[in-house]
Amino acid sequence: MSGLNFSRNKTRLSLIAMAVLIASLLASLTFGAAQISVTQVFYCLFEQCSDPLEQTLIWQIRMPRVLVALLCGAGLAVAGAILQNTTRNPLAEPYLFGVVAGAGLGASIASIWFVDHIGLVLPIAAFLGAILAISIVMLVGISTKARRVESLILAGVAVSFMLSAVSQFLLYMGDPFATNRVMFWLMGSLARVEMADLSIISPVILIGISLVLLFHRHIDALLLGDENAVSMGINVNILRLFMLAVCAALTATLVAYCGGIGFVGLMIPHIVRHWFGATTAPLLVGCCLLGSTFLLWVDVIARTIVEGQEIPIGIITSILGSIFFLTLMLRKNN
Amino acid sequence: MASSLLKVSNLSWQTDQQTILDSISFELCPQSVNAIVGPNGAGKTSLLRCLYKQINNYSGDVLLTDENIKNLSAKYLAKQIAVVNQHMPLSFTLTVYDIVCLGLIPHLSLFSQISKQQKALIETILVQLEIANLRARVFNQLSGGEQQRVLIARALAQQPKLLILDEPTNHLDIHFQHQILDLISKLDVCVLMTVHDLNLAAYYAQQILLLDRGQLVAHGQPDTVLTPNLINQVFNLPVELGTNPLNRKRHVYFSALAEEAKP
Repeated sequence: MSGLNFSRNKTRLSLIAMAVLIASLLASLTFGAAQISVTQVFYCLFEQCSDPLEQTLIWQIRMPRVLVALLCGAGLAVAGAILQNTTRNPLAEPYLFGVVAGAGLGASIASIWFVDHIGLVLPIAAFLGAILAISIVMLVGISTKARRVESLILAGVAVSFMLSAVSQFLLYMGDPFATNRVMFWLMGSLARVEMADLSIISPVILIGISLVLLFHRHIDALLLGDENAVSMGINVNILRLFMLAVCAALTATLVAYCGGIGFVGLMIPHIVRHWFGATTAPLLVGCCLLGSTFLLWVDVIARTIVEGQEIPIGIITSILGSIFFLTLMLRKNN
Repeated sequence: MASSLLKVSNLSWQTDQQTILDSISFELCPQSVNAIVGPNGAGKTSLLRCLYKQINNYSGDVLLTDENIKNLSAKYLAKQIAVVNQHMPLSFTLTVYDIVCLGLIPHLSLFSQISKQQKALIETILVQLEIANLRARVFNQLSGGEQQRVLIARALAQQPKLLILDEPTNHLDIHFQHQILDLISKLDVCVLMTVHDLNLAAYYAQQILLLDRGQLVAHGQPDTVLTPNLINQVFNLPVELGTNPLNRKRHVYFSALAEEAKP
């Protein structure tokens, strides 16, 4: 840790990752049902599109999707990294704290009782459900003074099961179409996000990441254990709950708009730690760059792997994530 | 006695079931090396935890340069007292330099960067503790003695007046035990540490606090605290005293219980 003054090696890595991200962004705009070349994308972005259809395709359809992929990838990876560092648990990730189960409950309620206004109500209900889940986890944390990190994680798992059970009960008793809607929503997709939604998503993600960056040294101190952090003047309980709240806001917002996209918050911090180290500031920068690039390409796969059809993005991230972890385990065993 | 840095008066702490610390009073001088000795469960670590506010619900007073530590902010206290704990759970790999720099946290605001002076201070500490060549190494891959030096360096980066160490020689071989204690005894701060080995305490500490079942049985220079009666009373072991011919310091000889029982 040396403030945000990265070592030369990490600065070089960050620049390379940034270049890859920009190249990926441009390349991802070329993928889709209609073929648009890189040159045409360049013209549309920096000059004037030759074809009005391309203008609409790039600015109205593909660009919001690419931008939400950037924000979503960065947000989920940062939330995962912070939860792992603050709980000192390499397996911690945003969804471990009941966020998806809570959002699923909200989505179920919206799908059963607010069918007529589903487009408007679903993200709000999902967000409120996610906040409900994380609030219960945080209440448990406050009541036990978060003395044990394990109690937060166990509370997250318990809340997750409890809210999932309520969702399943509601869907079982309700309309079969609602079940389908919720199931597809939980699989995750970036297709639902429109340019206007970005005005809500981007401030939450940018403010969340900035807040976390402000406390990067304090989060590093938590890596040395709670007692050591206390002896360095840090209020460990408040810091941990505050970070949980920030991660909850990041994840709840993303889940509300994009559904469940698993493994990004778990896998990306592990990869980034390997290159950028475990200290929080470079880890966050790496997570933003790599998380964004990863989700950009996963979305490209989701859009193009089956012709004329889109695969839910959560399925692809889960497949890639599970393969990654199995490979990692096998490599470590060897 | 010079004016005290730390003054503890009638410190008591109890859990639901039992009294852990019972009316403990003592004073520590600036730049002195002090060792707390006593059997397992005597309350050594609990006493230390009260001094750096990890335990807050004690009765009595802990004054640091005449200010009650209960009235001091956590950040201010961290500039005055640094702690090296027995356990450091590291799930992720941090480098030596990363860890030592963490000691600057009490001196930095949320928005500030590490200054040139602070970087120079880190360099001085790394050289002083002979770990400058290890700066890029990952902490988990160091030997026990090297890890202990890194943790002490991190504590020194806090620029404290009082350095608290909980069993700094734990799990170290005899060479590293002496190396660490020699290093600690040369530091320019007041040191309060728990040690299990009475001879190490006698060699390196100027003052010894003998604790038993939560009570301070004796406090003073090694020659006055490490007496056969007191040691036998606290540790329930037959003991003889002598002088170490190499350093002319007090040496405690024990015999095994089984040998004592022989006719």
